[in-house]
Amino acid sequence: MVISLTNRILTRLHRTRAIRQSWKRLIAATNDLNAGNSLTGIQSRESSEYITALQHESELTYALETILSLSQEEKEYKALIAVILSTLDTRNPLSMAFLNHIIDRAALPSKATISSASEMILQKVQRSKKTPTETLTKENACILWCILAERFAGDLCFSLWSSEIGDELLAMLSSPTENSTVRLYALLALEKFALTGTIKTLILSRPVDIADVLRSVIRECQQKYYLTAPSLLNLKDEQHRQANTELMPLHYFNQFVRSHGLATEPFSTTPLSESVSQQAGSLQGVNDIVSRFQKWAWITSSNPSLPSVDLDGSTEKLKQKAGAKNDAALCLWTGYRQLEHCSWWSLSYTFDATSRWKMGSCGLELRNDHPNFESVRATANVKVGKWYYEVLALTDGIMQIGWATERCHFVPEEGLGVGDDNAYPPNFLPLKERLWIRLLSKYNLGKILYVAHKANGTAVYPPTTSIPQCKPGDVIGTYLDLDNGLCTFFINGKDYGLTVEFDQPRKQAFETNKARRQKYGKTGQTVKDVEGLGLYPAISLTSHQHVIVNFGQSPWMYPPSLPEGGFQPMNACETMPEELKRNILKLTRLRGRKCTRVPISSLGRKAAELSGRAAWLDSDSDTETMSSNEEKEQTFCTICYSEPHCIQLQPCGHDGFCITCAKILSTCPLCRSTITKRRVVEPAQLSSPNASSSTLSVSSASSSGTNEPVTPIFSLPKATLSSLHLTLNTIEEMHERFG
Amino acid sequence: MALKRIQKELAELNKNPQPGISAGPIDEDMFHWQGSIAGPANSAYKGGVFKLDIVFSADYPFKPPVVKFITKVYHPNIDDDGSICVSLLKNDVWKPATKLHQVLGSISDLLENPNPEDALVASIGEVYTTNRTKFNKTAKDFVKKYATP
Repeated sequence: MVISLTNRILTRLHRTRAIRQSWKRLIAATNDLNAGNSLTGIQSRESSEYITALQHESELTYALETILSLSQEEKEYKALIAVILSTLDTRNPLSMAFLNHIIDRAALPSKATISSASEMILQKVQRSKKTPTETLTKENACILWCILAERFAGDLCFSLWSSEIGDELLAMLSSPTENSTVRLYALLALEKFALTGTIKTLILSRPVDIADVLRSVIRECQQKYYLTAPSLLNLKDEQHRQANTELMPLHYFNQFVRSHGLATEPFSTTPLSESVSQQAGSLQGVNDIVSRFQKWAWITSSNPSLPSVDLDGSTEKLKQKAGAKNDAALCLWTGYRQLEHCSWWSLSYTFDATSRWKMGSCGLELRNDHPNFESVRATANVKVGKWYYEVLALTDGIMQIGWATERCHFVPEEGLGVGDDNAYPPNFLPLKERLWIRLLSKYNLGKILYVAHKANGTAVYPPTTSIPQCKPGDVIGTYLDLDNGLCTFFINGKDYGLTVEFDQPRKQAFETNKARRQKYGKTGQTVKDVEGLGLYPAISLTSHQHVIVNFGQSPWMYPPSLPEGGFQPMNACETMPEELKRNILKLTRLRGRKCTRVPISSLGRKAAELSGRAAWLDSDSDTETMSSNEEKEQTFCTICYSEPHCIQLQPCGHDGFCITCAKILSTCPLCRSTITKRRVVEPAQLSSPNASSSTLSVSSASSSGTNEPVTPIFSLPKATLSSLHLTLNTIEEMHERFG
Repeated sequence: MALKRIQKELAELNKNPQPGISAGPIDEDMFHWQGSIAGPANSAYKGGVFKLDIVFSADYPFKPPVVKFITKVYHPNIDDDGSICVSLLKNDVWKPATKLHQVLGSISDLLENPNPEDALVASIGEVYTTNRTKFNKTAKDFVKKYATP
C-alpha cells in the first residue's frame, strides 16, 4: 500500500513517466496472468494458483485505475496519447482492449485538447519517417485515430480531423511498399472518420478518388497473394493459368474487372442461375486457394532449413524465395487477405463503418471492426450425430469458437459471447472491471476459447493446459460427437487434448420425455417429444479479428485425425430453404452491382423487394444486442416476428403484418373487423411508385425447393441491413462519384 | 412461426420484466412454460405466489395459449382444476396481437377484481357477492395453505 501511495504522489509530478510506467505495468500484469493460470480453469478458490492469479489481477486493476485517474486532466490526456503512440503493441490483443477501455472511460477532453493531440500524432508520424520506428508509429497513430474518431464521432471529430491527416492516411493506404497492417489500419481510420457525415463528404470529395485507390489496393492484394500462392505451390504452367482464372477470388472482383472495361457484359443481364453457379465457383475458388495454401504451408513446415522471406511483401522477392518459411508467408497472406476484405467492404458500402460485422459475400468470412465483442451463430444446428467444421484464423486476437445453443445470449457491450452465459457467475470476482477479467481469462486459453454447450445451455470448456498459442493462419477444427457427448478441438489438425465431455444430450432428452409422458399420460394428452436444443456453430470475435469458416464446402485444410467417415461436415446437416438461399444470393448480387454501372432505375424495384426480404433473412440470427433489435423490431410482423411487415388490412387500415400471417387472418387482430382486402405496403420509402401499392395475390409463394445440401452460412447481422438501406440511398451518389 | 414468436416474447419478458409477473419455459420445450403471478396487494391474495402452467399450441399466436393455475386458488372464476375463466383466452375473443404478458396481466387483474356474474364455480361466486368477509377469509386461508412460498 505504501508503495502504491508513493506511486500516486509521484505520478502527479511526472505525468508522462507515470503514465508510461502504469501502461507498462498493465501490460506486464496481463502477461504474468497469461503465463500463470486463468481463473476459469481453477476450480478451488483456496488453491495457491487462485491466489496468484488474484494478485496479478489486483496489480492490473491498480495500474488501470492509475491511468484512468491520471487521464482526467487535459494535459495528461495528451500525455496518455503520446505514451500509447510510442508503446502500444498490437501483437498483444489485450493492450487493444485496454486502450479502448481507457479512452472510453477517460474524461471527455475539450476540443482544444483533441485537436492538439491529433496534431501531435500527425507530427510524430511525419517525424518518424525514415527512422526505425516508422512502421510502429504509423500503425499506432492509425489505431489511435481509429479509436478516437469512433469515440468522438460528431462535433468533436472536426477538431480531430484535418486534411493533412487525410493525406497521410491515404498515402499510407495506397503505398504498395507499406506494411499491410499499417495500410489496413489507415483504411479503418478513414472509415471511422467517415462515421461523421461531414467528414465523410470531405473524404469522398478529395481530388484523389478514394474508390480508385481502393480498387487498386484490392487488385494489388489479389495479385500479391494469388500470384504468391500458385508459385509457391509450384504448379505447372497450365495448372497455373487455370488456377489464376479459377482462383479469381470472389464474384465482386469479376464485377470490378467488368466495370473497368475489361469485359463489356453488364452484370444486370446475368441470369440468377448463372450467378449462382458463378458464386459457387468463386466460393470454391477462395476456399481452394486457402486449402492449397494451407497444405503447402503444412508441407514446408517440416522443412525448416529453407530461407525466410522478406516481410516487405514484393511479389518478385517472394517468387525468388519460393520456399519461404511458412510462418512469414502465412503472415503476409493473412495481412493482404484482411486488407483486401476491408477495402472491398469500404468500396461496396461507401465507407460505412456502422455495421457490426464485415461479412464476406459468401457468408463464411467474418470480420469485426466494432469495439464490442461481437458474436454470430450459423443458420443451421445439429441435434444428433458427429459433426466437424474448421475455422481459419487470420488474426491472433481473442476469439471464442465453438458450439452454442439458441439460449446462449450474446451481449457485445459487456463482452459476453459464445460460452459466456454462465461461465462467470456474477460477483465471483472482487473486481469492478469484470469485463476485462473475462477477456483476460479468455486470453489465457491461447487467446482462443473453445466452447461447447451442453444441451441444457450451460457452457463447458476443454481443459486448457499446454495449448500452443495460435498465430495468424492457424486452422482450428472442431469436432462434435453428440452421440457420445464429446467435443474436441484440433489446431492445425493436431489433437492437443482439447476434449471436453458433456452430458449426453440424447439421454437428457430421453429422460425429459419420460418424465413428461408420465406427467401427461394420465390425462390422455398427446405429448410432443422434446428433442433437446440444437447446437449451432458459433463464433465471437473481439475487434479487428478476422476468420474464414469452412463447413465442408471445400476440402478440409487439415483433415482431423479421426476415423474416415466417422463424422460429417456441417454443411451436410441441413438443407437451407430455397428462399433463404435465394435471398442471400440476391443480396450478394446487389453488393456486386454496387461496383458496376447499372442504372439506378432498374435497381429501384428489386431493391425495395430485397430490403424487405433481407429483413427476413436477418431474423434468423439473434446475434444482435437487444438494443439494436429494438430499432429493427419496427420492420417485423407484429404477429410472428419472423418476416418483415408489408401488409395493410382493408377496410380498417391496420398494418404491421407479413404476407403469411395476413393470409391466415380473417379478421383484423387489432380491431376484429372483417378483412376485405390485403394491401402490400413497402416498409421502406425506397420503393418505386409501381411497387408501392399492389393488391396481394393470394397465390402462395413458390415452394419449389431443390434438396441439394447447401452450406449453412452465418446469417447477416441486422446492422448490415441498415447499411444496405443506407447504401441504397447513397447509391445514386455513388454512381456519380464512383461509376 | 410460433416458435419465433414465443422466443420473441421470452426475450421481451426477460428484458422488460413486468412487476408481479414472470414466465419462462420449464425445460427445453419452448411451447411449455411456467408462469407465476404475485397476489395483488389490495386483494385477499396479497402475499401469495401463484404458479401457472402455460401451453402454447403450434398455431400460436392464432390460437390462444392454454393457461391453468397449478397453485390452488379460491376464486369464483378459477375452478378446482385450475382452469381460468377469462375472456381474453377464449377462442373467439383471442386476438393474435395479444402477448402473454398481457394475458398474465389480465389474470392478475382477475385476482384483484373477481367477476362473480360469470363465475366458473358458482358457490364461490355466491359467497363473494353475499358474504365478502367469509370470502376474504377463505381466500386468505387458501393463500396461506397453498400459495405461500
